[in-house]
Amino acid sequence: MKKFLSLILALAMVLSLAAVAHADPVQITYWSVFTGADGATMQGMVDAFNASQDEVFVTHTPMTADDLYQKVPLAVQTGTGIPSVCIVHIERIPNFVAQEMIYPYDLDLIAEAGVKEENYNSAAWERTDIDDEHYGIPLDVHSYVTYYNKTLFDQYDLNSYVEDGYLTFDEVKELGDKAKAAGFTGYVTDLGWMRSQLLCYYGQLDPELTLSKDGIEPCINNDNMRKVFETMKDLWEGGYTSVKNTDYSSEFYSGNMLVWSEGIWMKAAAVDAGIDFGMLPAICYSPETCMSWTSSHNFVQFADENRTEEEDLAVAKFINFMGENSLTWAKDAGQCPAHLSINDVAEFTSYPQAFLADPARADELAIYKYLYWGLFDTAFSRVGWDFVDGTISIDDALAQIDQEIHDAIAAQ
Amino acid sequence: MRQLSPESTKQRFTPGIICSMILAAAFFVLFALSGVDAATTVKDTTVSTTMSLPQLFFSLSSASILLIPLSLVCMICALIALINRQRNVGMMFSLVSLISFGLFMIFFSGERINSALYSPLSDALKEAGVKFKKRDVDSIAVTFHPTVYLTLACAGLVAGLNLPHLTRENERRLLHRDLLPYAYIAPHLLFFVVFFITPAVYGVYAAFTKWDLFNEPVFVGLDNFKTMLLESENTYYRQLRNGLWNTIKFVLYSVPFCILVPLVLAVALHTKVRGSKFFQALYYFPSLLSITTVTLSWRYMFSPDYGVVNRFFGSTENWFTPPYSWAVIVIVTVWWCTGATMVIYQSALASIPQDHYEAAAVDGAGAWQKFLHITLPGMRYPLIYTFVTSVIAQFNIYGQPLILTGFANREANAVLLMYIQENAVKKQVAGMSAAMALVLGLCIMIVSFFQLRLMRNNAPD
Repeated sequence: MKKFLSLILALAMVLSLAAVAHADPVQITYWSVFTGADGATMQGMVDAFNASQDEVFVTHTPMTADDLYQKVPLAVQTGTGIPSVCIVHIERIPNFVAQEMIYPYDLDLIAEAGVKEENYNSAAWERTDIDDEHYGIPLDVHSYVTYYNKTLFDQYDLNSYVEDGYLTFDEVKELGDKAKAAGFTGYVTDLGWMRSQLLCYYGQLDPELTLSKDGIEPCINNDNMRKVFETMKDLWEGGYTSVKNTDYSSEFYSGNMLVWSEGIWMKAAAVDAGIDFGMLPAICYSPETCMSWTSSHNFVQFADENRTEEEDLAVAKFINFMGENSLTWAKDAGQCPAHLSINDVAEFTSYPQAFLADPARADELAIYKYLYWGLFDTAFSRVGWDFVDGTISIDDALAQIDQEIHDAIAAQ
Repeated sequence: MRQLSPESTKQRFTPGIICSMILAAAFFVLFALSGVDAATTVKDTTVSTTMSLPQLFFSLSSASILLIPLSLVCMICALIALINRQRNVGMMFSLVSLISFGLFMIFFSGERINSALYSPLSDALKEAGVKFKKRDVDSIAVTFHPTVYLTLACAGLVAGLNLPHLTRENERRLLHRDLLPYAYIAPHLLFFVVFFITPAVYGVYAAFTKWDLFNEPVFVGLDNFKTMLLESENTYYRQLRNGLWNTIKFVLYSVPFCILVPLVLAVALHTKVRGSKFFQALYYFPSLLSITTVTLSWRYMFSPDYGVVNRFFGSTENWFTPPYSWAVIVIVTVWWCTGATMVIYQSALASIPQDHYEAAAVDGAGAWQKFLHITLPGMRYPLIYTFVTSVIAQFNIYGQPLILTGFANREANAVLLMYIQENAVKKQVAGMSAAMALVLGLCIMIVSFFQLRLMRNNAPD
């Protein structure tokens, strides 16, 4: 009996010592705007991180961007359920900062985990430097680009137009005329997500990406934006674009469209559709001034006075892992990782979107920064097709955008 | 056991009751005059602020503040009970008011950082030139003004003055009899006050504020209403007019069909054709689905590229643009809400005596004449009832135009609730949005008032 009790005691001691030696991992809650296939890819990356070490455990909660932008302010306001780290779009960050909703990163602390400015795409990193503090760590840059159907380009002998890696508006018209003359009956190009297309072309005319002169009052009603609107209308009136409410992605996948303006995030879907395609920057006025509207998913930390330094460090380790292991994000989600180490991965350099990660071409990324981006986005997206098909005149559309933003700021 | 008449629970206006009524009134006066002092120290700088309890109530900055309206409503009920000389009821409500106010004080003072108090303190720190982040603020110390304790004391005195003598059997029996009904409705009453009265009061208050949902609302009086009703250049003036007009158009287009289609189906099923039960279930089925499911399904069917409608007719029309868009929205709505109305009509049809039809047949009446002179008059009340409920329901139109057309076509199908939701949640213009909601609510109330009069005048004997 004595022996038996001694054995039990010894076993208990060994188990308790093992428990002490094996400390519980730091629990991290992570909210992202990735749903559907992107959500599954992100979950796979989170699982990989959790499996790679036992100090930090990340719980990923994916939701739509609209849901996240509604839930996060409530969580911050009530002080409960605030995620340790969260993915937001880069354009939202200035407003969150103004509202004191997010904390700046302690650059010394995150450097301990390997998160350093020199490791990231400069265009994305610099956009979240606000008032001498840094607020966002970019996961990726995702641009609105131009896909072209290689099979159709071969068939109608159009490859000379894309040899230089750019496609201008004049070239789009020319290649469209040439293909139609040769019997092509589909669409030359599309008017897709108008907001992003318009912002690509606006950046080409105004590299400063001016949406407001004083940082508050909008100045969308200007000559450059008018020219952009006229360019879109001109393409539509010339019969070069898809018609209203066309399912333009399906038209491209089915070989009924030569040139498709879309986000790089649709690359995986295009690959799945089995189409042979190439990728270029946004259609441009000239190659010298080409810019593509770009956003970036950023890791931010919302204001939570209960979060400890230990958690902040754990978050930094997670962010660093995501940066250093972002090939999956490029491969499965079709994105362009913002961590520069991706340029050393041979597989990535063969991807069509690789040109977006080239540090030498960082100034081609049109990443907008406006305090009232949310209001701008809503008002700007509203006029969409209405100015193209003449439901509203271009002058009225531009005036309406400025008025809506101005009135919303006044009423907030 | 001696039976107690209902009147026996009422008592004379005793000095105790009169004193209680005065104390209950004093509760509200003291509440209005009450406030809290708040102070915090950041980087060796101490700042302080004062906030009144009514201000705090309208800030709705923490869950504990929900106890304030509960306390106020209970004290109103106590006062009404005392005016009606129902001491037990008055005692009960004042006791609940006392407990909820006391709990508010305990929970509120236990909060580390209250956002309503943080806002002015943060401004004060900035004015003092302190560079800080919210996490630098360890806590906010709260001190209640003496009037807060006096408010609590008033509630306590009202309850205390009306406490029954539980040693007396008659008073125990009276207490049991007076309070039992309230025990039954207490759970509902609690949720009603917390989740209906409070948001409603707060919503009305928000209509008179400038509020971005995140920071504290700023009272601006009638500014929101002046802007959207009088400033013709303003976005919200345009949105209110367009949204309200589109809502009214939708009500006018949809309500007749929401009554006629189910009526025709109900009459058809009433003939007891073979398989009528199957068809009844089939017609009722859409009512069980969510509006999102219904609208998305129809959206695919009307899709210009792949929709079964265009395939069937060999058409290339875009059904989501004028002049078709309203028709599509009405079709979806009617399909969705037909089942529920049809069941009401079927029930009404079943209640019409069969011998009326037989007598009419003997007199040589045809089917149409029977429908016109027997069926319709027999269904008068259900028809008016469904008319009233359909109008109110369709005034709240939201999901169908949002999913089918959104704000496209120069907002041709944008209804007021779409603007309200977008302004409040997406644009964070919550004050203006609440003002729009109030206007919509008033419109529905006015229409409902006349409809209810119509319904009352036609109610069955």
